[in-house]
Amino acid sequence: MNLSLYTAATGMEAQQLQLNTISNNLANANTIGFKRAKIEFQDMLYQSKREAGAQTGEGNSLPSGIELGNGTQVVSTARVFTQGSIKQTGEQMDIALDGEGFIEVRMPDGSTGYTRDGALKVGPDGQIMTSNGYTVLSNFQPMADGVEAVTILSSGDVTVRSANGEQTFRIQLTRFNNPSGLRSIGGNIYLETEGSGAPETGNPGEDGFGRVLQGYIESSNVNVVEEMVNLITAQRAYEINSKSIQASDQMLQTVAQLKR
Amino acid sequence: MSIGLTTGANNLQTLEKWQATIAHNLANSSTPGFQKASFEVVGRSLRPVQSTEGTADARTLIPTGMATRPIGKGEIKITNNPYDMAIQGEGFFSVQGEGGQVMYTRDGEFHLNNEGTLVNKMGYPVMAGGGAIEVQKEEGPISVAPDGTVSQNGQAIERISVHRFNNPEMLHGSGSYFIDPQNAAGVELIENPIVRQNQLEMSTVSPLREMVSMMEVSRAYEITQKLIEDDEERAQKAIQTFSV
Repeated sequence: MNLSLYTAATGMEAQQLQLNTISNNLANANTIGFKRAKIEFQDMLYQSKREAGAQTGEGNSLPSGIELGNGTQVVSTARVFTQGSIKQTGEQMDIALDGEGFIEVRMPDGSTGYTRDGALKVGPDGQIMTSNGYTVLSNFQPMADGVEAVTILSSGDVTVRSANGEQTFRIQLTRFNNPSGLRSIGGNIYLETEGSGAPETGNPGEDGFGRVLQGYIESSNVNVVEEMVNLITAQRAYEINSKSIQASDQMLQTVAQLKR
Repeated sequence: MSIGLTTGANNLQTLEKWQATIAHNLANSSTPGFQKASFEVVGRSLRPVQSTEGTADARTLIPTGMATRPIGKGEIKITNNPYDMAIQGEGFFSVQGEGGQVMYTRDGEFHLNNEGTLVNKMGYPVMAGGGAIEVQKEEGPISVAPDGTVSQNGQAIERISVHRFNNPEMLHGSGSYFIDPQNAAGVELIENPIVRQNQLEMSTVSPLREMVSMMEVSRAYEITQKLIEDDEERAQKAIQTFSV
């Protein structure tokens, strides 16, 4: 009897997690380089009461058994790394990645993080930094004093013209076999995990790596309308599962009335 | 012993199983590729009761439940995720689970794993004609042709296997993933499947129908309880009448 109570509870719990994911996506609809998360459901293992094909004697077998499921479970919240829309800013240090790839940053603890947030800044010593102050690696060279102009080509070739002359280097991008497996630590930074695979670096615009667009930033890939639709379905599913609990409760009450 | 009491108790038990089936369906109304279970109450006949006259054949039917899982088609949702795939029409994808166990599913929510292999969300490789599907990142994005051929940069890599069953009722599973432990389901490869990339098939559960069934179960449960009560009352009266 209690089976259906617990089954419905798993449904409510899963929808609650779905709501959390949607809220986080919506809250970050305007975060640069944010990738939306999607929640993945799967049904739980069943308890087999009578197996299909079981012999019932005299050569007869059951055409179908009774398999009672135990509800649903959330298997993962995967990040969806589709392209976000590209927005023009006109800032010479803003870069957007059009296609696959991450910019490498050095975290305060010395480890390496990865981001697609290309709103870059020049730090006090001429090193390139992200907006939250992490040093950008990806083969960026510190800039000399008195920078007059920075030109970044889509191939990642950077030319810095300053009072002392010209400086050139090429940005390297990093990618993973399974970017959904990266660990997100907030601040638009992702960390490598066992599941993401090892980082692989390459030149922008070659071998499937994305291009670099100067003067643009990549907005989040959250589609607000889609999230709202998901929000509605999640809320209704939550409600319906609560009805199953109510019905099971009523049945228990009926049972309790059997003995007067 | 009163047959009415046993029948009533059996009916309550059956209705509880029905309720469990509904709860499982509703809990999975958002699970991609989930195949809902439908519940059927059938009467199972008891052995004829032996009476002293030897001729009376007090047959009675004991209600018992059967959950069947008719293979249906859910609604298709466009996700624009290149690793999401939906089968149009009949058929199942196959994935290789733990210990080489082949599992069949209509849930096409796939991913690449850390080695670039196409896997399902549990990490089980998706099966194609020549085994697993290995994607090379440097060749760019994958595209899936309607016949299931996965290609990259215009080069076909593998063709996703889509299966059908002659006896789908022999499959075991609770909705999303099915196994065929007795090799009795009669699996065969579909020659010309239709696989749609960037789409996902949702659950076949219709919340409306489930709610209606739930009302039916609740009412039947109450009525059965009344029957049991009546039966008990009669027994009590009999005791009062005939006791000295």
